[in-house]
Amino acid sequence: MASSSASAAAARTYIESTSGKYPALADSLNALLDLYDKKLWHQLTLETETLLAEPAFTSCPSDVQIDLYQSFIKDFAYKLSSLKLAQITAVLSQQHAQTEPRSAIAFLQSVIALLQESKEPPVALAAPILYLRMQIASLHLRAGDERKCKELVEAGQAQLAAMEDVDASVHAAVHHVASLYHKVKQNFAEFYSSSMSYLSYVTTDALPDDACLGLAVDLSLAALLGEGVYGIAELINHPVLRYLHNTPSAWLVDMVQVFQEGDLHAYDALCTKHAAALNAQPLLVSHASKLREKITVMCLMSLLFSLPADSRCVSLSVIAERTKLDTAGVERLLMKALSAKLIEGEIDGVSSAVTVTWVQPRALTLSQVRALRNRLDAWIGKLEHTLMSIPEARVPGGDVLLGV
Amino acid sequence: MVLESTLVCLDNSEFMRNGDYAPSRIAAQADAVNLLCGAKTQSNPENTVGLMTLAGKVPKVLIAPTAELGKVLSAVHGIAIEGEQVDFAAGIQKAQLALKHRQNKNQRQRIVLFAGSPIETEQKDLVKIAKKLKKNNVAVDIVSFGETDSNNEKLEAFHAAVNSNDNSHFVTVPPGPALLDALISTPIFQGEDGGGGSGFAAAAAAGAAAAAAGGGGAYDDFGVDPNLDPELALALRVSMEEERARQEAAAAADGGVGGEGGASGEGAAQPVDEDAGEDALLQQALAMSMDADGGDTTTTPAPPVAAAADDEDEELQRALAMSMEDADGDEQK
Repeated sequence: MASSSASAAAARTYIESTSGKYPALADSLNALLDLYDKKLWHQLTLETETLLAEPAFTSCPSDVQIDLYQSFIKDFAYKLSSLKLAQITAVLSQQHAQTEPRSAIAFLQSVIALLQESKEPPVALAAPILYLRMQIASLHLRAGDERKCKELVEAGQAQLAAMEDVDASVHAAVHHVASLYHKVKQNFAEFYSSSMSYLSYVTTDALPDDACLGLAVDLSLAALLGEGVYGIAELINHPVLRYLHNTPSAWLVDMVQVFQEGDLHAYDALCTKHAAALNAQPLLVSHASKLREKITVMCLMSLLFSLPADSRCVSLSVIAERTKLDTAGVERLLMKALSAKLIEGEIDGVSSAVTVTWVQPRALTLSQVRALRNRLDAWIGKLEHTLMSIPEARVPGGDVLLGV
Repeated sequence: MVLESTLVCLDNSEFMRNGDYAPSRIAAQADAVNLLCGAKTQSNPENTVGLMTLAGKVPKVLIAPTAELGKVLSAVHGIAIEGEQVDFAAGIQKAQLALKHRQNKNQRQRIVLFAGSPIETEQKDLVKIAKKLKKNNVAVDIVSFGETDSNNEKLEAFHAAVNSNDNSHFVTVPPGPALLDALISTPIFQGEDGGGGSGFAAAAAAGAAAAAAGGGGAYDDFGVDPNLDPELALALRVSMEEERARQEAAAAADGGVGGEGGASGEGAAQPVDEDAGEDALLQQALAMSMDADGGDTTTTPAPPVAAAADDEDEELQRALAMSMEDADGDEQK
């Protein structure tokens, strides 16, 4: 008992000295001390989280934040939920990470060591340790050590896939770090998929607005540039794109929309309208031919998708007209789509037509769903028509039978 | 001796990390549940006890009402803290459903509700549920601890609505080291008929009272009610007396003559120490030599160890003599 009262006294002196130095924090710190004395660990966790979000605290020098852990939280670290501890320490290391990523890494590694020494079963510790490792990976990335980050991310993704019933924050951390890594590496497709996974584990309301805006711009660009990324309706339907409205980057929304619809004419119109903005994006300029190719493929897909069920045989000239290509170009485009497993079917070179049996499934926007509904309605109408015609056909037959 | 089926609802929200009930709210609850389940199953052999947790993604029935105490206790052991808050309304209704499908319909239904985290459910919804429970003859015992200030108003209204013929009880436990001690003397443990019917609960209460008074009650020493299992209690008492004798001998020897005394002390302590083992061996040797004597091949079971606790020296001598004779006889043949 002597040691616990000694540590309580140490915590008290720490709180008193810190609130003396930073009077703005005094109220929150005294509330923490009060809960500490009552041993209400859960309430203490919640109170600490609100303190960490307070501007008065975040603007303090990074030493204060590390000190809060070393002199206060560490004393009751084992009483807290280990995942909460991991999250709190990750937030505490943030400010440190801006200036000295290396020491922030060392700090987080000390927390991992502390967790590993605790008496909790290893299963319960896997998630918080993974969370901290992902924070360390992002710090490595910030320090410029991409190789180390890659190792950690890949290990983390493998570990996450093997785990069950994991907290959403851990999923989010893994996908977020993966997306940061791919962003640095300019792997557009991977960035797109990991960012979309990240967004499915966080609510955009919980993120700061500028982060959402940045993410929306990056995601839109990645959706345009990513090779093999043809299902961009997920992004269009996602609330994160709302952050682009009324910003200089609003044209990206139109661009993504045009890509999803595969509307080449609108694309050309947009290109001339936003030429200045487009030219300001060096990535888009350098990938201009790829963009053209991609929207042509999207155009083909949306054309084939809209075909009615009884006429899936399209002549190449129709495609040429829609895609603004010559017949040879259309053939190349079809071969490309076939080889990329976007469509299945046969090209008939003699009659210069293509028979399509399958188009890659993809997420639809609302307007596309509406088109689908119209087709179903048409199908139902046809079915009713058929049903009506059946009794008519049978009546004369019945008459014949009755006549016999 | 009320025949009843009890479902214990444990609170396992994050609030259970708090250390205001030593060692933590969840551990204090687990202790109380362990003893409560024992009390319930022993007050009537046909009683059943089930267990469910209230927090987490959904309230979960861990063990449907069963008479096997071991199952319940191992389930208590495996409970993890999860979930920010408790959905009491869903939990209580689920508990009622679990009780409704009990196997023996003659059992009365009882829910024991541990509430240690803030109740979010509206009071009028709780009262509505309470009335439904009352209509279905479900008694509800409520243990309010931890967040008592914010909860008690709602819980009291709930209790008032569910109580019929004084069959439900409401207990508030203030923070402190003894959640279990505070509960043991309450009607929740004592049973509906004021403790007279429930031998275990009465003994437990007596044990607790004796412990509080400084003496060692029979229950307090061994965790077993002597009225229910006299043989086990006797065996435990004998082994404890032996242990006490050994300690006394060792203490006397240590206190006696320093280093040299230590050796003799060991010598003195040894026979007492090895009583049980030696005795068993002796009996076995005796039986074997007797078998050899009579040429009978059936093995006679060793007599109870405790019965031969006394005058073992004499028996030792006799056994030795007999086995020597036996050996001599064998050689002569």
